[in-house]
Amino acid sequence: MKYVLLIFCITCLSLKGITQNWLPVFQDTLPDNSTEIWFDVGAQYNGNSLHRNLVSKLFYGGDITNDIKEQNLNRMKNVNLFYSDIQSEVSYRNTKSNFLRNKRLGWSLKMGAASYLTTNFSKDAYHLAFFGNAPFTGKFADISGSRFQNYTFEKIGFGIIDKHTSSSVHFNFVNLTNYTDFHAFGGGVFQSQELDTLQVLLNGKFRQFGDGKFSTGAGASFDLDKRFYVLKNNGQPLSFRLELSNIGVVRASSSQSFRADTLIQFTGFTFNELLNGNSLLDSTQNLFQKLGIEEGQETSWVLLPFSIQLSKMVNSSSNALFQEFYGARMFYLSDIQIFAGVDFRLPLKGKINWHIGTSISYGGSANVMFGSYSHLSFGKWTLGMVSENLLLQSGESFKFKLQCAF
Amino acid sequence: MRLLLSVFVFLYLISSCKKQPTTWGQELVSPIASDTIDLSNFYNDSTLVSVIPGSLNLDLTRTILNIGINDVVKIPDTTISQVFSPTLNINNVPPGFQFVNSIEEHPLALGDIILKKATLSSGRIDLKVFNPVNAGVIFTIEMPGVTQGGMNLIHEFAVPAGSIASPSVAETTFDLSNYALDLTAQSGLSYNKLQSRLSIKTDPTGPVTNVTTNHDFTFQAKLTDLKLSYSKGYFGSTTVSDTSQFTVPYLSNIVSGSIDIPSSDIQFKIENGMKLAMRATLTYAKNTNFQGNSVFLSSSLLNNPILLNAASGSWSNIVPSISTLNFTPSNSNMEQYVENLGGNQELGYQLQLNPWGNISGSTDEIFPNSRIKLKVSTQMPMTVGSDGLTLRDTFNLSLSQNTSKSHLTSGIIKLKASNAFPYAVSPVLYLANEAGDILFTVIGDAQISSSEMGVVNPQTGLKEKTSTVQFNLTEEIITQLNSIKKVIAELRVDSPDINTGANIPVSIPYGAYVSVKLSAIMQSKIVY
Repeated sequence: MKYVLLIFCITCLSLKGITQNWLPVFQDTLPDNSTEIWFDVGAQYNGNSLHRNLVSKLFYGGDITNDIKEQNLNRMKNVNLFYSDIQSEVSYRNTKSNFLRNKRLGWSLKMGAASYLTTNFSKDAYHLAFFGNAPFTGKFADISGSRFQNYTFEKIGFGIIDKHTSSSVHFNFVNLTNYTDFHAFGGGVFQSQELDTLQVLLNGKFRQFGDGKFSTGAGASFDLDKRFYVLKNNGQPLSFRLELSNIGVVRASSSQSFRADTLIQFTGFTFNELLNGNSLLDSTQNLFQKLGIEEGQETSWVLLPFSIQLSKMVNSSSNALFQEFYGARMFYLSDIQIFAGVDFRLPLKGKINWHIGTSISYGGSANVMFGSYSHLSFGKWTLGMVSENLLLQSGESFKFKLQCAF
Repeated sequence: MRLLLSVFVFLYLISSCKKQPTTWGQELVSPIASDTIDLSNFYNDSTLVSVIPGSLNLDLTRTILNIGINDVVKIPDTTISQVFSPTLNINNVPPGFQFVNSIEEHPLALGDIILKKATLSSGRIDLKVFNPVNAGVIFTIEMPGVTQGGMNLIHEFAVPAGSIASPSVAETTFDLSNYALDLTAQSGLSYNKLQSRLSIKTDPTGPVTNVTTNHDFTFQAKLTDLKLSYSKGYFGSTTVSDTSQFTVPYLSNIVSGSIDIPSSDIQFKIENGMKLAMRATLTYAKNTNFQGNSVFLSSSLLNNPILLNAASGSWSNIVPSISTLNFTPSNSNMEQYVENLGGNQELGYQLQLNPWGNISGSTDEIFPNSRIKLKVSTQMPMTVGSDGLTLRDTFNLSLSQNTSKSHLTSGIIKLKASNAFPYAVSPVLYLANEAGDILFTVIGDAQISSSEMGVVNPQTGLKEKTSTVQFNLTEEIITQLNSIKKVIAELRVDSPDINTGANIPVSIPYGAYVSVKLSAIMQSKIVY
C-alpha cells in the first residue's frame, strides 16, 4: 500500500511540472528476450516567454484577464518561442522470436498519433493578438519573422530490434490529417494617429492542408533508436543513445493557400460604396486581387516535425545508487536544448526496481527547466512518469509510460 | 455493476475534458469611410446649379409632362380579311392557272382621328392563307400603300392541297418597323384605310383540278403593336385632364425647422412641338412637406387657358411653340409656396388638341421629335438662413454577430469633419428594427461647427472648420446589433451668426464642401 501511495505522490508531483518525452531513458545491459506491449502517452507545452497562466487558458479555456495579458507582455522578448505536442503510441515488441531467422534481431509493430504545434513570434505579434491594434495607434506593429506551424498525423510502422543493444529502426506509413503553416517573412500593421489610415504590410504565406477529413496526404518516415556504449577508465560501460524520430515527408494537397507580398492601405470606403454596397468586399476574389494576395491550391511535400537526441543513459542493472545522465536534443524549428540530471535508485529489496531522478535543461523553446521522474519496475510491469520544469511557470506536460512483458 | 460504474467514471472523465471557451478582450481601431461631399453631389439632380462662379442657385427645374406621337395617335390591333370565291364552277383547271382578285379596302377604327400618312417605328403583321382545293396553290398577298423603300409589302405562299372542310394553312410574320402607311386608299383622297390584293395560282407542277363556287380562298392579316414615328392628318380635339406628381430630393428629407429663402419667381412653361394647335390650362399646383402640411399655389394665372400655335419646321428642325406662366411674389403666394419645403409636388393640368377643330384640312403633322412638355422651373440664390432645419434619411443596415464566437462588445464611431459650409450641424443617429421602431438614440457628443467659426484653408480659399463628433455605441446597443436593421441619420442644420449665435441667412460659397472621415474604436471579445 505504501508503494501505491508513493507512486501516487510522485505522479502528482510530476503532473505539476513539465515533461520531456525523452526523459528518462534506461538501458539494461542484459539482452532483450521477451514479448512486450508498450503504451506511451504524453502531452506538453513550453515556451520561453508565455506564462502558464495564459497558455493554460488557451488550452483549457477561461477568461484571459488584462492582468494576465499585461504580465505576459512584460515577459515578451524580441523573439518568442512556443512549443507543444500531444502524442500517444502503442507498440508490440517481440525479442523472443527471431526476425528472418537472425537470432540477434527481434521485431516490433507500433502505431500512434501525434499533434505538434510550434510557433515563434515577435513581441508586437503578441501585443497585436491580445490587445488589438489600438495600442499601436501612430506606431508600426512588427510581426516580421513570426511563424506558426501545426501538424496532426498518424503513423503505423514495423521495426527491427537488436536484441543485444535494444537499438531499433522503424519504418512507418504516415497519414497527414492536418498541417497549417503561416509564415510572415516580413510584415506588420500601421494605424495612423488620426485613425484615418490602416496599412498592412505583408510578405508571407499561409497554407492549410486538411479540411476536416481524416486524410489529406500520405507519406513515409523512419524512427531510429541507436544504442551504443563507451568504456570508462575503470572498464565500466557508459551507455549512449542516438534517437531520430519522424524523419520523413508527406505528399499532401492544400485546401487553401495564400501568398502575399504587398502593402495594403485602407483609408475607408466612400459613401457610395457604403450605402450602395458596391465595394470590394462584395467579392472575395476581387478583394484578394486588389490587395495583391494570390489565392490557390498546391500539392507539395511536407516535412514531418523531426527530432534528434543524443544522450547518456541510466543503467537500470547497475547497483550504484546515483547515476548521472545528460545529453542534447533538437526539435524541428527549435534551438538545441541541453540537459543533465541525476538518477537515484531506491535501495529496495526484492524484485522492485525503482528509480527517481531530477534533471535540468536549457534551450529549445524554453529557458531553464527543472524536472523529475519516477521509473518503477516490478515483475513484468514497468511504470514511468516524467516531469520537467517543476519550478518555472512557462509550461505544463506529462508523460506516462507503461510496459508489460508476457 | 462494476462495469456500469467504470463506464460512468470513464464518461465523466471524458466530459470533464471538454474545453471551455477561451476569451480575451481586444481594442480595434480602423477607418470606416473617407469622402468629401460638395455641391457636385447634387448637380446630377439639377437641384443646385452654379450659374456663375462664386454664386449658387437652387434650381427646381423639372419636366413633369412629356408626351409624343404615340400618346396622341394610337392604332389599335387590327385584323383584316379578304376572300376570293369563283363566281362559277371551273372544271379541269390546268396547272399554273392564275386568278387575280381586285384590291379591297379595310377601314381602321380610329375614332375622330383622320390619319392619312404614317411611318411605323415598330409593329408586326401576321399573314395567314387558307387553301380549300385538292391541289397545291400559290397565294400572293399584296398590301398596296404599305411600303418600304417605295415597294409594296408582297408575300408569296406555296400552300399544299387542302379541302373545303379542312383547308390547308400557311402563315408568316413581318416586322413592320420603318414601313410607311398610305391610308388614302385607291382614290388618294380617303383616310384610315388599308388596302389588300389577293392573287391565286394553281401549282404549275401540280395536277389538273376543279374549282367551284364553294371554294373560298381566304387570307387574314393581323396588325399588332403598331407604334408611330410620323403621322399626318387630323388628330382630333381630345381634352386630357390629369395630375402629375414629382418629388424634390433632399426637400423630402426635411422633417422640421425652417429656412429663409430670398424671393424669386416660378415659371411653368408649356411647349408644343406638334404641328397642330393646342390649348393648355394649369388647374392647380400644391406641395406637401414631411409633416403633411400642404400649400396650394394661388394666382390668377391658374385655370386661365393658354392657346399655343402649331410648331414650325419639320423632322429634326422642329421648333416648338412655347408659352410661359410666370408666378411672382406679386401675382401669387410663391414665397409661402416655396418655403413650405414640400418634397412632394403635385400639378393639375388640362390639354386640348385642335381646339378649333379640323381647320388644317387634315394636314397636321407629328414628327419623331415632336413633344408636348410641361416644365416647372425656378432658380433662387443660395442665401439661405436655416433655423433648426432638420434633415432625416434612412439607411438599411445588415450586421449580425454571434456572442458565442468572437464579437464586438462596445465601441465609438468617430466622425471628423472639415466643414466649408456656413452651417452648423448637430447629428443624431436613430437605430431601428426592421419595422422602423427606434431601439436606440445615439446623440453625437458635439456639433459640426459652421465654417464661419474656422479659418481660411489656403488650398481651397474657403473658410473651413474641423470638428470631431463621437457616437458612443454602448454594450447594450452592440448586444442588440442583430436587431438593428435601419440607421436613421438626423441632421439639425443651423446658420448661426458668429457673434450673436442667432440664425441668419448666409450665402453658400461656390465650391463649398465637407470632408468626412469616419473611424471606429471598437472593443471586441475574442472567443474560441
